[in-house]
Amino acid sequence: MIKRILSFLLVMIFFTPSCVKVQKDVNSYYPLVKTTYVTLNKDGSVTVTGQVISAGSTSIQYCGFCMDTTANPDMLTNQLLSDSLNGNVFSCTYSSLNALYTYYFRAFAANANGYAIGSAVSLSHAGFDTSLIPCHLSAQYMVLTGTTNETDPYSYVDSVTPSSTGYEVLAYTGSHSLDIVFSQYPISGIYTNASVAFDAIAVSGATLYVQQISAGVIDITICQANVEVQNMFSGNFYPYVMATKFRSLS
Amino acid sequence: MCRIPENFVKLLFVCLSMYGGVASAQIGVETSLVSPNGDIGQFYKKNISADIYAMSGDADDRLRVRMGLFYTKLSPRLDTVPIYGVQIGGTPQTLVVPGILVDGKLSMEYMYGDISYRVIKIKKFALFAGIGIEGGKVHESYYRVLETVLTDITNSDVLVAGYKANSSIEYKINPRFDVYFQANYIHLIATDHSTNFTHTTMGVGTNVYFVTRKKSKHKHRLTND
Repeated sequence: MIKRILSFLLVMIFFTPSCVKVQKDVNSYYPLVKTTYVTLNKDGSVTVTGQVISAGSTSIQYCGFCMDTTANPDMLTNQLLSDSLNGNVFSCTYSSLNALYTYYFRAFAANANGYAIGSAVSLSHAGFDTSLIPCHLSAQYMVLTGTTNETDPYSYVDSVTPSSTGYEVLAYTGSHSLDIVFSQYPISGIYTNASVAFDAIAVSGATLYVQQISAGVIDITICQANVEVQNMFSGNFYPYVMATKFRSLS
Repeated sequence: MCRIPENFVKLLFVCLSMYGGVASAQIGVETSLVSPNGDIGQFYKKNISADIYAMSGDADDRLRVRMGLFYTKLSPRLDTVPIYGVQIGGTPQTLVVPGILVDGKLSMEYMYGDISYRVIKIKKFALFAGIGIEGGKVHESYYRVLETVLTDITNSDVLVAGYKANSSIEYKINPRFDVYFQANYIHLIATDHSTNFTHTTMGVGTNVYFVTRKKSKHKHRLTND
């Protein structure tokens, strides 16, 4: 009798299913995620943080954020995936945000069974901290320091216009010109890779601080740029340091 | 009203025809609670199933062979299931593409054959354990969308095959009837896309013995001698 019972149990153990455990609550298959908070960084970028409240019945495979200027953005809109999950917290950084809009961010997480998306967290007035600008200049002036010192008012400033290489802003004082080309439409931020030409001569290493004032209107500040000024009598070039701040037309 | 599918009736006819030539063939019916497992456990609710089978031997046989038909219809657990795809290449980064899956009802109908061995018999109770094989079809219908990538409407049959393990406790009412409680583990795989339709069943049934074999007193006496 005991032998029979043992052989019966052995057969039953052999056929014991080794498949995935069925969850009583169907929602237990899927992750649960929350958009925790949004932090505005000094450079104008925004760090969004999310939290995996529950991974679901399998481990998390992807987590990230979506972002839009309309409430409840779709998961595909401006999607950023997080490289890592620190405990149950993950984050991503969005840059080049427009200070004029309110942005909505939502966290999502996906496991092998499906995905979940959190509710939206919004942020207004994205843009960089203006205290990062190392100089405080009067608008619409160009200051040149060299063999002589000049402070020239701008006589004409153009609007931001599309060009063959990006977006161009032209500005003229009575005796000098400044031609700036951004690779993308300029919004609030710090730019180190914009193309700057002073009197049609390329200027290297200039840092530009852009503040968005209203739609299509930006303030551009350059605190220090090494330029060469041509003497109109001798025709020789002399090194000068330029600082300027001007506002584009709308 | 629940309508018996036409294919099920056809299969039943085939099954009974095959058993027509067996002189001692008996029949039985069983109803069980089906618990979806494997790939379908996430998507479908438990439901009742029906089995009808032909069986060799009689109530006192130690070895029993059955051949039967199984039918059940499962309803989805969720109205829409959140699914996603991963798009790699074509964009600057990997993109998680959201979507939905809307499951329709899933029906399973298959034929099985199993052999059970009586492990213990105590008075009118008997404990059986057995194994078997099965094959048939699963009808599945679903609507699947991955945003901007895929829209897929499926309404088709898939062929399935697998094995089963079963155990039962039977109570013999009289030489012509017994009732039992049975637990089955049924491992079922689609033959073309390897979807796992494994499920377990726990249910009650009854066996009806048209032909009974009374033990000969003479034979018994001879054995004792």
